[in-house]
Amino acid sequence: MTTSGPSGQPAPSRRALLAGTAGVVGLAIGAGATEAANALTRSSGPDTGPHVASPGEELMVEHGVLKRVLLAYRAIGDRLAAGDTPPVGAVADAANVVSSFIESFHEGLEEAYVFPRVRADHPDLIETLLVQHDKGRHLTRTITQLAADGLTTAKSRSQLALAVAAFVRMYEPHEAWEDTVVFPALRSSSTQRTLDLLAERFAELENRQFGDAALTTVLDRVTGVEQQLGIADLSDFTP
Amino acid sequence: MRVWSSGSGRFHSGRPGKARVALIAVPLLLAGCGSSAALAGDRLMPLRVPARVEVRAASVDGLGTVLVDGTGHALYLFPPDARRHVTCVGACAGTWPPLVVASRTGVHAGPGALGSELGTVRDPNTGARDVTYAGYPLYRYAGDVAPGTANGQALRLNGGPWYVLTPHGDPVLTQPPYTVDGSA
Repeated sequence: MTTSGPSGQPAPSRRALLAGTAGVVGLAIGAGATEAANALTRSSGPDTGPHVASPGEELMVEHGVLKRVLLAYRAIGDRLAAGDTPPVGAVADAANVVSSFIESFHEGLEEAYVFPRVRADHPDLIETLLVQHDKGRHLTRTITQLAADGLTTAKSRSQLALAVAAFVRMYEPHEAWEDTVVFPALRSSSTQRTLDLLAERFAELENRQFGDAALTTVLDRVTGVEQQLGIADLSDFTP
Repeated sequence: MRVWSSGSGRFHSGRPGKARVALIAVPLLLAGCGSSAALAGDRLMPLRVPARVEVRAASVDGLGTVLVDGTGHALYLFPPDARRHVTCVGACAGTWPPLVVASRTGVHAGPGALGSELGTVRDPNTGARDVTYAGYPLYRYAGDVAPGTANGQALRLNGGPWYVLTPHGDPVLTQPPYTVDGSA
């Protein structure tokens, strides 16, 4: 199953992107997809087919979306530091991606399905991550409001600079700790059956909340932010 | 009693009839947590279902006297629930864990809470009962890591705003101050 992307080309689903090919998307969507795909992999002899994403892999792809928003926030901060006013639309769109996809979905998955499973072994870390989720939501509320007010005053631009700097400073180590400690802990503390079911549940919830092409859609939104800020070309980052 | 209006995005005074509740509920369910189809108990979600819960009143800085659970954690309502219907499931229920209980008989009103406002409704996350107050399902906030705080107050998340409640069952609409460094 594919849907049409903004460019008119068929937009592959999240699972297809994670598997590295759109050809398996019909297999990988919907209830039972993970089990079906695993069964196919098990019965197909040599391991040459695409893998179904683990829950940690799913969450790390979502972290990739957040990383790109952090790059956008950094670019916004650079413009403010140079005395320029960043495009208000880029600020608003970036905050909206964070609010709708990261804070209203990704972090909820972590809080519902991941943190409870690793909290006993990492109580202080999980509490810190929960506090940071909350702080991030309040910073996003501030950034959203400042953008809605138009960034017309020096005070609002100064406040935006502080807010995006605080957000970037907190979330870079935040997601690094999740990637290197929390998700490996989930993997080591869960059976393969549970991991498969979690991956299936994450995909099911994402499809239900955002549609089949959720990842493609959110990446399009992030690309739009990057284009407004002039940071859409990856090669520009090559030294 | 304040009633949520999807048209204005605000609460107004009154008590809606069944038809009005339905009109409010349908569009909000579609636009709310994005999970209007109820899960038949999510066995992958490790939500503990106690046999007994207490709802009482306590003071929270900046918000006054609000409802809290037996451990002192603030309780919230979600307007898109539009009374007696849990719309917060899946990822939403991670951030806003429902106040669940094994059965209606396990719900108790503590000091300052009105027993007459308590009830339960089926919780799609656990298959157990979600405690209601003045008809609204109650939730905690994952960001309230210690009792006595209400960090989720007025946050717009998962498709709508979240509010703590007064002991009369009214939402507290106070907006917290904005923060530029995460300190508020």
